[in-house]
Amino acid sequence: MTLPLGLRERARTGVEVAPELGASALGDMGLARRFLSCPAALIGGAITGLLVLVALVSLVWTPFDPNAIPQNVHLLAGPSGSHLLGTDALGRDVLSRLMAGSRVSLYAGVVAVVVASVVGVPAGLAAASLGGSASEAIMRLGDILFAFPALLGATTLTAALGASTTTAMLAIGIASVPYFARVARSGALAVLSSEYVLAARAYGQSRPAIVRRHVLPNIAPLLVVQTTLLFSVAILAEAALSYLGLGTPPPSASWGQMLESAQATLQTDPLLALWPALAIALAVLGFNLLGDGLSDVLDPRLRPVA
Amino acid sequence: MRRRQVVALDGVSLDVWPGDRLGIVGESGSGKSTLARLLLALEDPDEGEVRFRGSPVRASCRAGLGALRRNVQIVFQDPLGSLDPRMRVGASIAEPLRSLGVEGDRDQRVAELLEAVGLPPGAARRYPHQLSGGQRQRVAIARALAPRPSVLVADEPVSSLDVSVRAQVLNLLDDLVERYGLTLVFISHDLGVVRHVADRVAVLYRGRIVEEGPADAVLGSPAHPYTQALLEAVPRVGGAITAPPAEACGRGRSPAGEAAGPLDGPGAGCDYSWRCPLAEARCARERPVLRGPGRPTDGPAGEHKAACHLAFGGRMAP
Repeated sequence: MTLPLGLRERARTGVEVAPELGASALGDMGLARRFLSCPAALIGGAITGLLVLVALVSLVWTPFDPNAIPQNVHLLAGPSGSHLLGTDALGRDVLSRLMAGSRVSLYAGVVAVVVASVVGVPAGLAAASLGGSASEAIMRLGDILFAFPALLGATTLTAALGASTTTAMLAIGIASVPYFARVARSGALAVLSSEYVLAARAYGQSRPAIVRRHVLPNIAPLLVVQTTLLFSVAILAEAALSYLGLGTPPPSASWGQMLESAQATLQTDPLLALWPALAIALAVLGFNLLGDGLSDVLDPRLRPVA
Repeated sequence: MRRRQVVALDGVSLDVWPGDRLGIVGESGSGKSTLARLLLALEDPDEGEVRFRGSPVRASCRAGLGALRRNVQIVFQDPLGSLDPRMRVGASIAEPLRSLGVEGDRDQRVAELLEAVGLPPGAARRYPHQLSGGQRQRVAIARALAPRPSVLVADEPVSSLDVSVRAQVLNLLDDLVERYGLTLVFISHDLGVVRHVADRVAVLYRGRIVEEGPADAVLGSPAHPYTQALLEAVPRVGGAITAPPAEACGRGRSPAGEAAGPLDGPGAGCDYSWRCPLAEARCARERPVLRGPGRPTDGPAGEHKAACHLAFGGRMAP
């Protein structure tokens, strides 16, 4: 059955159209529609969705124990019926380890995003709304942090706190604070210079209330995009740091660490390195596509001003 | 970076009395919007003061602003920019009530306001981008009226609207001012629009009031050459197009080489003298004061006054 487009939309979404206002009652669901019609967002969403699904499944089920070293198993076995992606040098199932590794990667992203946004967003908002020398001080502090190499920060933190996923991502999160601060500040400046903020001041809205009620909702899309992109950075960084021995310590499965241990047998078993590398590439690609897509889908009108 | 200081408003003294409908006219850059922001204490003047009900108000001092915030509201030029794009219309209108702590049922008040500005109740659930320009400006007006202000400042409220809806919004504004007994300060570059809503008019030129008085007098028989020029610039339908007087063609001509350029800062003489077709040597030397035809000092409140040496007699046309 074919319906006229407008009717079909209405039937699907249940949005009622007030006849006297005509126009676009569909604007309410414009977001979902724009998401679905943006290939980057769609593909990115699918990949990240798959990643999250695998991570969730790995919590309750993996084909084998990803970390325990089994007895009576072929070491470095190629793909077979029982071990779909084969076994590693210690005889552990590669697929199980890949699945468990997705959890580490996602956890890495969450830690980095939480650290970066909890510090960066309030700093950027404060810089934008205070202005003047306070803004200068905050942003120059950010520049210093920005100039500080993330790897050096990670090494230092690891030396102080010991190697763990959390330590590594603390370092990446701290290194990403300036990004969040800048995005928050430039978005907030655009909002603060708008006439609706001027109007809000005219009816006595306090500065914190303006930030809460007008600035945050309007810069949320920018922050969502930034968050998605930081996920991909964090996954890559976690892999790199684990590879260097600064991240997730063995025996926990992490993609970077799997890559590192596969290096020893690269000549004879190149497939062992291929799987984690593919997983990393796919996850990074997924989050990047999602971030790019979302920045188009979510409010294209509001872009950072500086 | 070096910044150039431009004095946006200078020596402006205006009284607005309850029930006034004051129109403020001026070209772009004349300081109209700065004046609006000062009136609402959104900015502080570098010098001078704004008084509300006799007491001075300062943007930097929130404590003394309560009465002003409750009683003076503004409608801006661009309703799309003056409404939060992520807030539903109903929430936008309720914001002042929330912010000012107005008692009572907010939903009911929002419905009441929507009705007052001629929008259906369903509009409350819409986002600004789902409405037309005229509907958005109605929402902005409803929001301004929400806290039951006594003074409404309208800064070019219809300039961004289609000509076809301009008259509707203007009439609405007119009705609302009437119905709620509002004091209106109406800022515009458009004399035709000002004539429609204002009883009293002040003409701004480069930050100074050059003419002030009852709308009929100022717009009917302008005393200042700048006001005359503005009126001549209003396109009229139906009238014959007359050639400008020979003098007027000397626009920008410098009398006796004493002209001051447009941004050269406050010179000694009349700011308009460099553009004025009637300027004399005296105009470039001496700054004229705003005064009526009679006494040299301020006349009665409603008197027709102009800041021109040649106004009211002399060489000015009546």
